[in-house]
Order: sequence, then structure tokens, then C-alpha cells
Amino acid sequence: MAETVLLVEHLYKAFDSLKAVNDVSFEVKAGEIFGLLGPNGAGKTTTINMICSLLPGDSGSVSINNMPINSQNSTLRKQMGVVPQDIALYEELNAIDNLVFWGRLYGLSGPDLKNRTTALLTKVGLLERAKEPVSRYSGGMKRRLNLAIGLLHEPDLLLLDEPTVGIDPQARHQMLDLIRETAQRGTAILYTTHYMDEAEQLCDRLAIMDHGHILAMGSLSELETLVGERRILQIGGSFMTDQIDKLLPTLSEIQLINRDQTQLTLSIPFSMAIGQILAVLQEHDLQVEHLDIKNPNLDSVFLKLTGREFKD
Amino acid sequence: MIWQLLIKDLQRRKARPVGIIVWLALPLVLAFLVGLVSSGGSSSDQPQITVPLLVEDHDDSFVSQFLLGAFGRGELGELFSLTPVDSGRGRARMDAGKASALLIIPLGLGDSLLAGKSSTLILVKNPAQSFLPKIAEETVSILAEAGDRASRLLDSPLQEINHLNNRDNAPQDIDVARIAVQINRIIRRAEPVLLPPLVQVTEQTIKIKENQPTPSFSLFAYLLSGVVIMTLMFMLDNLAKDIFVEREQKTLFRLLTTPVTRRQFIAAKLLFMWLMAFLSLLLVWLFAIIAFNITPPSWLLFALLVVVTTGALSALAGLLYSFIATRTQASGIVPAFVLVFAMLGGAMIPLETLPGFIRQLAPFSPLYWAVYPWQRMMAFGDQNFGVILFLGVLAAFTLAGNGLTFIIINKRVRL
Ligand SMILES: Nc1ncnc2c1ncn2[C@@H]1O[C@H](COP(=O)(O)OP(=O)(O)O)[C@@H](O)[C@H]1O
Ligand SMILES: [Mg+2]
Repeated sequence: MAETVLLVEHLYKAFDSLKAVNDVSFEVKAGEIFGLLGPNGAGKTTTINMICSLLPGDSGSVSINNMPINSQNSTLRKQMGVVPQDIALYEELNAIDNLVFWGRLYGLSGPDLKNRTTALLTKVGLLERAKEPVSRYSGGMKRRLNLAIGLLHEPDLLLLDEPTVGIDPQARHQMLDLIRETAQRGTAILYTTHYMDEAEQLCDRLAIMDHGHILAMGSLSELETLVGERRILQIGGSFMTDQIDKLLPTLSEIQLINRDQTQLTLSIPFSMAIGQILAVLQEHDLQVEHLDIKNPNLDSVFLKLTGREFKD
Repeated sequence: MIWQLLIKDLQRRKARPVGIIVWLALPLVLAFLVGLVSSGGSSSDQPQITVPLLVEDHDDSFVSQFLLGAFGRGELGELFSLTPVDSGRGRARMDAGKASALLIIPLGLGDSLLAGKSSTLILVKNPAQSFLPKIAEETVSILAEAGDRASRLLDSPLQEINHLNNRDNAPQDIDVARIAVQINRIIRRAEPVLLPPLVQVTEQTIKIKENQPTPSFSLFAYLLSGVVIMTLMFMLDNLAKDIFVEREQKTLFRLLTTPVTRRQFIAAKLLFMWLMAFLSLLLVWLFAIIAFNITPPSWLLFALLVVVTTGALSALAGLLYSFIATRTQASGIVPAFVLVFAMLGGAMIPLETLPGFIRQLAPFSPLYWAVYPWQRMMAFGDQNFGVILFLGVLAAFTLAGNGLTFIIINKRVRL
């Protein structure tokens, strides 16, 4: 059993009346990629900021390698690698100077630092342009360097805050590979994202977060069972409230997830034929304009949990 | 850790060297230009300057009136306030600090000039002042030269006027002056004619103590002393902004996720400001010393002054910044403070040219303490002006200012 590297228990943080992080608990084990999936404003960055003790939490606790975090503890900081959501680089300096500077802060030096720098630059595909000032890089290149800096000192715990935003598919692929490889070496990785597909591809376990809450947590397949042996049906049209009120009791085995004047979101068993439902709708004089069927995936899980589509 | 942060900031500056080069070159160019303009004598740029000049006219001839007329009219009239004094009384009034210089026109100046013989003007400069006597000196030499040329080129008209002058009903002073100024203009426009000067100006500076050599004065060094302090402040203003820059480009955030602490970050920034100011001041003066042949009276004092001056200036810049929340605010507020401090402290315009009540405020400007010792040391070659007081004030400001800045910024800097 791999040991727990990061343990977060009952974290709370409010900005005035806004509860940005509301009772968040999870753990990340060595070698594991744990995803924090949620739309913008869910509280992912706030959670990360509290984990690296840049932001004091209102209550709750965080410990790394069984040691409670403390902003003055430089040993803990050396065990931690942070890739901030915002690109944080010295634009005047080139990629090598950036890596060397950040590496030295973590106590690296000499040939070791040099070798790691070259190896990482190769892995993120920046070696050829490593001597150009960062200001001349494209957004994607900066993202890759931003990631590389967090990996340089091979920390026990890696906090990645949406590291692939605004990057082309090929470079993203490269980055995700690098992150997997890092986890295979035993690094515990906390990965926040608002990309479903990334979370599905990359994470061993994940938590779905919304409005500061963790709504569900587990492996991908565990989460998908939340939707059950069911699929999600979205029906678009124009519906009167009383029509729907009359309709619903006639549809046993169907759960209403959400409804408004233009859209009905239903959860139906796999066994139920779609035609059956359409026929019932017709009986009740409901005009159906379009129909969308979703098989179990994170999207349908989110929809099930929140009644909202996962969109920014 | 702090060391790594310093190296990083040096590298960043090195990657964009133009800014630094401009900050270094600016004071030299400014001082040089202002120096050129001022030594041209009749400076129309600074009509607010008035040079109190005493005159003992032993000659009282047409030529001496020509000379004094030139001082009393037009642009020169605005620059000089002329006070005729009785023979022998000038020295006493100068000793009382009533004037910047005393011009003594010897008996027989006019006659000897008209006869084509050489003659000598005596200019006594007030040693308590630095800048104004210099203006008087430059002006007198130019006028002497002009008068000399006049007597040669316009020999006959002068004779004629002189003749007129000797008649019973002497012409009005004002007429003579008008003619004199006209002649002066003609000569200035004419091609320079190289003639050996007939009128020579002898300078005398009253000695304070018998055994002290006459202090030499370098106008360039005097101006540079002030200008370099002012440009250093603007450079430091720029460097201090870096705290905001690092916050905006999120590198501060990232730094604080590493073993670097907030205190180390602030300390490194303050040290970097000091280091850059130190190197800049040193470079500017070393350049001036080599290129303009100025020598400090004591290299030890020079070194100490570089250290405490730059320490105090960076503390001042830091303090200004510790009360500021954003970069936009900084761009508005800091230059205004720097300009006021520079004005009051004599970094922009020589203090002596300011009205008395403003001059009394000078010690309240931190920049005064950084400008004055440099003026004494580099422009006058003086090291007995209460050095200890100035070194002490600057050193104390360095320690207290940087300490306070550190505490305030540590409390106030947000991510
Ligand atoms: N410093 C702050 N002051 C006030 N509100 C904040 C602050 N930081 C974040 N928030 C709010 O907290 C919520 C969560 O933000 P954040 O953690 O950045 O979300 P995410 O990273 O998931 O997009 C958002 O509504 C955001 O506006
Ligand atoms: Mg975020």
C-alpha cells in the first residue's frame, strides 16, 4: 500500500460571504494522480493555495508526509513542487536561466542541476530554443516551461493547477505523458482541471468540485456508477409547467434531474427504449425539438450531481 | 538564498541594459549641458537667478560706465543686482555676506584702454558662496573681452564719444549705456578677431584662514553632485517597482512556494536597489573623475560617501514605496515626491539661487544631506564641512529607513 503524501481534512475558506472552499477533504498517495475537477470558480486554486500555505485557511488541516504544513518550514517546501495556474516566469531570462534559478532555490547545483535542466528541456520540447528569452515564446511554450520548473527538483508532492490551459493538442499530449511518467516514479500529484477528458485520461482518482464542495470522489469507474445503469436524456423544446407536472407521474423509473421552459433533463434506465419516452411525450402534446442521449461519463456524472451541464 | 535572488535580478537587468545605461549617462550629460550653458555667462534660461555684485569704480570714466552699463541693462541687468560702493568699503560688505562678488575697477582703466595700453580688473569672490561668484567671474571676463575688442575695432567712435563725454553737459548715463550695448552687439555678431587682450581680469578669493590654499571650484562637479542624486532617485523608483512587477507576473507567488521566504524576498529587493545605486554612483563619479580631471580630497571619504549616500537613497525610495499599494499609484506619487525633495535639497537647482525661506527648508529634504557633501567634496575639494554630521545622518537614515521599509513592506505586501 502506497503511503499518503498529502492529507487534506475539512478545509474551509470564505472570502467575505463567498464560501470558496467548503469542507474539502481528500488524500493523495505516492505515485497517484488525483484530479480535482470542477468548473471555473469551483475553488480549486483556493484549495491549492491553502495546501502550499500561501493562503491561510479558515479551518481544517493539511499535512504533507505526515507533517502539518507551516509557511516557515523550508524542508516541507523542498518536498513540494508547485505549478501555478498563471504562468510565472522571468520573461527577460531564457529557459535555461529560469530553470537554473528555480532549481538553485531548491538547493540543486552543479552538474546535477545542469543534467536535469537539459533532460527536462528535451522532454518539454524546448531544448532548441532554450537560449532565447522567454518573452519570445508562444503561450504554449511558456506553459511547458512553467510545468518543467515544478518538476525540476523531483518533489514528493506535485501541485498542478490547470497546467494545460491554452495549449495545442500535441503539446498537451506531451505534457500529460510527462506527468504520468512523473507519477510512475512515485510522485504524488494533485491535478486540477476543468477539462473532463483530461481528468478521464489522466487521473487515477478524482474529486468533482463545485461551489467549494466536493460532490463526489473516487476512481473514474466508481464515479460512473453514480449515474447507475442509466443514461441521461436531454430533451429540448418548449414546455409548460403544468404539462410537465402531469407527465411526470406517468413515467415510473425515470428521474427528473432538471427542468425549465426549454429543456428537460432526465435519467433513464438502460433498459428503457427512447421511443417509449417519445411516445409518452407526444401523448401529452409536448413539442420536442431535439434530443441528446449521454452514456455514463464524467459529463453525465456532473450533470446528475448538479443538474447543470459542465461548462464554464 | 538572498544571493540567488540578487543574481537573478542582476541577470534580468543585464538582459535589458539600455535602461541602466541611460540612467548612468543621464546625470553626466545633464551636468555637462547645464555646465556649458552656465559658463556661457548671460544665461537667459534662469532669469530667477540674481547675482549680488558690489562695484568699486575708481576710474569713473566712460569705459567703466560702459562696463557697468552692460551689467545694468537687458539680460545681464536681470541677472545682476549691482551696488556701487565707496572706495575701500566693498571688502567690509562682502565679509558681511552681502554680495557674491566685488568688482574693482582701477583708476585709469579708461585712459589706458583708449591709449591701447593693457589694464587689469579685480574680481573678489565670496568664498562662502559657490555658484554665483562663478557667474560673476565668467561675465566679467566676457565683458572685459568685449570691451577690449570694442576699443580696438571701434577706436574712432569711442574716441568721439569720449570726447563728447568730456564736455560740460555730459550725456545721460542711459544714452551711453544704450550706445554701449549696441556696440557690444555689433562686436558679438562680428567675426571673432584674435587680438591679445588688453584688459585682464584678476580673480581674488578672500581666504578664510591664512594657511588654507584657495579652494578650486569645478562648476561641472557642483552640478553633477545634485543631478546624479536626482537621477539616482528616479532609477531607484524604477527598481522599487520591481516588487509590483514580480507580483503581477506571479513570480512572487511562485517564489513563496519555494523555500524562499517573504522576508528574504524583500531583503533581496532592498539590497538590489542599494547595490545598483552603489554601482551607478560609483561609475558616474569615476567617469567624471577620469574624464573631467576632478579629484576628491580623500578617497576614504569618497568611498564612505558612496556607501552611505546610496544606502540612504535606496532607503528613501523603499520608504516611499512602502506606503504605496499599486504600480499605478507609484507612477503618480513617487516622482512628485522625488521632484519636491530634489528641488528643496538642491539636487535640481543650486540652493543659493532659491529664495531664502526655501533655502531654510533644505535640511528637511533628505536629498539635501546626499547632495551637499558631494558638492563640498567634489566641486570644492573640501573635506572640512562637518563631514561626520553628514556621514552620520546618511548612515542613520540607511539603517532606520531600510529597517522601517522592510517591516512595513513585510506587513503590507499581498500576493
Ligand atoms: N482573493 C480572493 N478574494 C475574493 N474572492 C476570491 C479570491 N480568490 C478566489 N475568490 C473566489 O473564490 C472562488 C473560487 O475561486 P478559485 O479557487 O480561483 O476557483 P477555480 O480555481 O476553481 O477556478 C471564486 O468565486 C473566486 O471568485
Ligand atoms: Mg483556478
